[in-house]
Amino acid sequence: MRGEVRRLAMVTGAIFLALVLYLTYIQAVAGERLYLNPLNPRLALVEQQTVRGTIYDRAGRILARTVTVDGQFRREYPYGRAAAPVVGYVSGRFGSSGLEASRDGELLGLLGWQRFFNEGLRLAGKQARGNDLTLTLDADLQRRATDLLAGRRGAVVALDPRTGAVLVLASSPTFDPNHLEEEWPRINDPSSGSPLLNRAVQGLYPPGSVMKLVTATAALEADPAVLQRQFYCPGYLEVQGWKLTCPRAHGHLNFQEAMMYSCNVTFATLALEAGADKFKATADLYGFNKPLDFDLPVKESRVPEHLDANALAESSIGQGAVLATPLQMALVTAAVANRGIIMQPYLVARITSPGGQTLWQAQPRPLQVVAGAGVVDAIKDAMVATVKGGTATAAAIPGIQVAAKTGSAQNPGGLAHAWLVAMAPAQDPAIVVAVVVENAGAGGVAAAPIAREIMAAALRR
Amino acid sequence: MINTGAGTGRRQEMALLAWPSLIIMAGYGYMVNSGLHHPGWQPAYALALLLGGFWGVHLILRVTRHGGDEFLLPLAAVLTTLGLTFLFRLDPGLAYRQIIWTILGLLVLVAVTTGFRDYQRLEQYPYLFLSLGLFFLAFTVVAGTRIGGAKSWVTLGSFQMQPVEAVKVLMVMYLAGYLSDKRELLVQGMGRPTWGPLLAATALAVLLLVIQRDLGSALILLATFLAMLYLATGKRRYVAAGAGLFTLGALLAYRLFPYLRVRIAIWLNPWTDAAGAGYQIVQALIALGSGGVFGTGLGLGHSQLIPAVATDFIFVTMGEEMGLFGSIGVALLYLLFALRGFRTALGAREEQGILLAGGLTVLVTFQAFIIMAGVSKLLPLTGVTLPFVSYGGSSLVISYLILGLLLNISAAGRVSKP
Repeated sequence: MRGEVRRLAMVTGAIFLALVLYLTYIQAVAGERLYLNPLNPRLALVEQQTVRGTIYDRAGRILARTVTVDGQFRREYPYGRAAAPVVGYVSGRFGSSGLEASRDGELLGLLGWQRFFNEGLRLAGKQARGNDLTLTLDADLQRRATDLLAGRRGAVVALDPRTGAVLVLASSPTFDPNHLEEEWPRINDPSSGSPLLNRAVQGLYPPGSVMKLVTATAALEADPAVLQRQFYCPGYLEVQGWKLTCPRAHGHLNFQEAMMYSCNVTFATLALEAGADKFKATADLYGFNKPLDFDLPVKESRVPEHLDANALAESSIGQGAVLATPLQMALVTAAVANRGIIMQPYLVARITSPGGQTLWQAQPRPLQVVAGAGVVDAIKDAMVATVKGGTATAAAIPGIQVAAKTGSAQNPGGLAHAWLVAMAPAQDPAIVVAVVVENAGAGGVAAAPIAREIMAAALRR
Repeated sequence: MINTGAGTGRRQEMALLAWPSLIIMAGYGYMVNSGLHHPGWQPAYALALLLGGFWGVHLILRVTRHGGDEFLLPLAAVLTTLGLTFLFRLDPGLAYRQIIWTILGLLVLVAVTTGFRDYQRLEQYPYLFLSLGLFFLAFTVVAGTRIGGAKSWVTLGSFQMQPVEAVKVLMVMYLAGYLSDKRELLVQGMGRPTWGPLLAATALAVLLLVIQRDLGSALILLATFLAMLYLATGKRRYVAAGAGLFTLGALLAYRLFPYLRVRIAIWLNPWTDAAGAGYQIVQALIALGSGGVFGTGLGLGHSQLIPAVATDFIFVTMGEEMGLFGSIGVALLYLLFALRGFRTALGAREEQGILLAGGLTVLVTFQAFIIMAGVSKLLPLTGVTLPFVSYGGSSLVISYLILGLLLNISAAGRVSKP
């Protein structure tokens, strides 16, 4: 019996050891993450005693700052509606969103040792001050993109493909974080089009023909001879008794012409030849079906797990169950622009202490190598031709070579979503743009002018 | 063990009592400086009463030459005084009542250690304990009040108690007597007549608890029963069979009772309903995380917004304000209590003593474990008190009763050594 007592004591010791290890995990390892959870009411108290850091754009223009009005803190957003999808809002009543939520820890100075220091200041009755953020965002471009979208639902993403720095992340409709109290009823009215939804990173759309960039990559990787082949489009393709159609019969065409006129039959044929596995693997390389680490929460873009011939043909032209965020399609385009390498996209370029000392600085780093330079250059040439004489002529800028791809994504909501992805200057792209306008019809008509304006403005700087 | 009688052991107890005394005095300092005065009482009286209480018990044990374990009383005192300090910080009114309960608990401790030294007399009435326990349970089911989901309270006027606390101890007393009596038969593993009453009693207790929705107590009773069965027979397969039966019962209950499904769903992912059903556990995790390694300091946390923080969730307040060091410290205090309890069982003269000491030790420490693990989401949350610490009269008084019994068993064990 005494042996049993000893064993029971050992079992007790073991379960207490498990408890101690688990508590260590909760309090020491996960502690900071739990503390910074937006559901933590302690943060609201810290908020009242801390001057929240300022958020600047790439040129030092103020996007958000805290001012004191009658002894009370007030958050000001000089760029109002335009920057709201990125910067978000912070409110005692309505919680927080955007960078105000995801970078709470830095803005309130609550990370690591700084938290102890600031807690000490608060205990002593002094005001603590959080860190400042400098973004990669270009506030002027952001405002222009928002103006161009005004009155419509959609999103614009622009980034520098060489570094991954995000220049524009616009979403429409949007809201004014300066007047949240007044706007709240409208914001939550279903007929207002969900202004709180950041369509650039949280909107999942069928990508339509823009997906052909992925299909083309898969086909060229599988067989480079595709470039020398001739295809024939009678206006439809029969896949297992189901008809995939083209807007018109394109007749005989080569790879470049198929891209220029966005021929569904050719790309579906190419996808069927390359096979579902190759197509899916290429999409995965581009970033589909996996979470993206970004400064704002991003919805996962997806290509279905199992693709039979029908589904594959549909997916190859961006229809069926394929869904993508505008940011994802911007990254696809960035890979083509940057010799097949996707750079990790980022919004926060620098974190600065209240004393002006740089605490952290973003380093551009490659996220994924998608394809060889030969393959993406061939695709880029086809995109240049698309702007010169294909579906994307409306994206052309005088004096600058632009490469682009249009998309008109069928959807249950009515008229097709208009897509356009583009890069300029084509020889050595400094900017990539992805535009989606909901239910606006053909991408070459509705989305191309927006992309053109943004690229022209960015290159003029 | 080496020191027989009241000599060096009690002197060590005296030295160890310095720690809870320091905690009380620190608590008094906090009380005086915090400005959280409760209109009905004087901090100085409370200080004198508590210091007098713990030192008085020590003196009585000394004068009566009680040879009980010298670590158990200081451990209980540290836990109680820590609990009182945090209760005061959370709700001075509750702390005031808890002081009275502490004094009552100490009186029970004195009564048990002086008037009831010969615990072996307990063996004579196993069925009395069984009937009493079952009566309490049935009475709660019939006349109980539902507070916070569990129908485990009995209200008499303005006075509330949880009979289930007494039921647990009565069950251990019954099982200690019964198992030591029927041990031979059980070890041989035969005879339905031996198993019948045992299974029936336990099943009934568990069933009543399930009806009352007091799952925590059911779990504790079951674990204690299995532990005692293992102590008596040394057969792991009995424990495995018991655990298997329990799993079957739990699966059945999971299908039958929606509240249980909700509990499990909350345990698996409280974040999906963080404002509703998962609120308590989400806020508890956030509080523990906010405390981090070093804690915020006494009174500087914000766990008051968790419902039932003074009873089920007081460990969270300790974790937030004393940090990881504090919460591990509290867990280790219970582990030390367990080790002294098991040592008492090892030193006991005969089977009944081993079983009783082992059972009572498991009862206290397992309850502490499941509530500490429950509020930190290691296990599904079951609402039970943290022994010696949480606010609650029945729980505190019964804990001191258990402490008294453990002291008596260890004293008897030491006296008998040659």
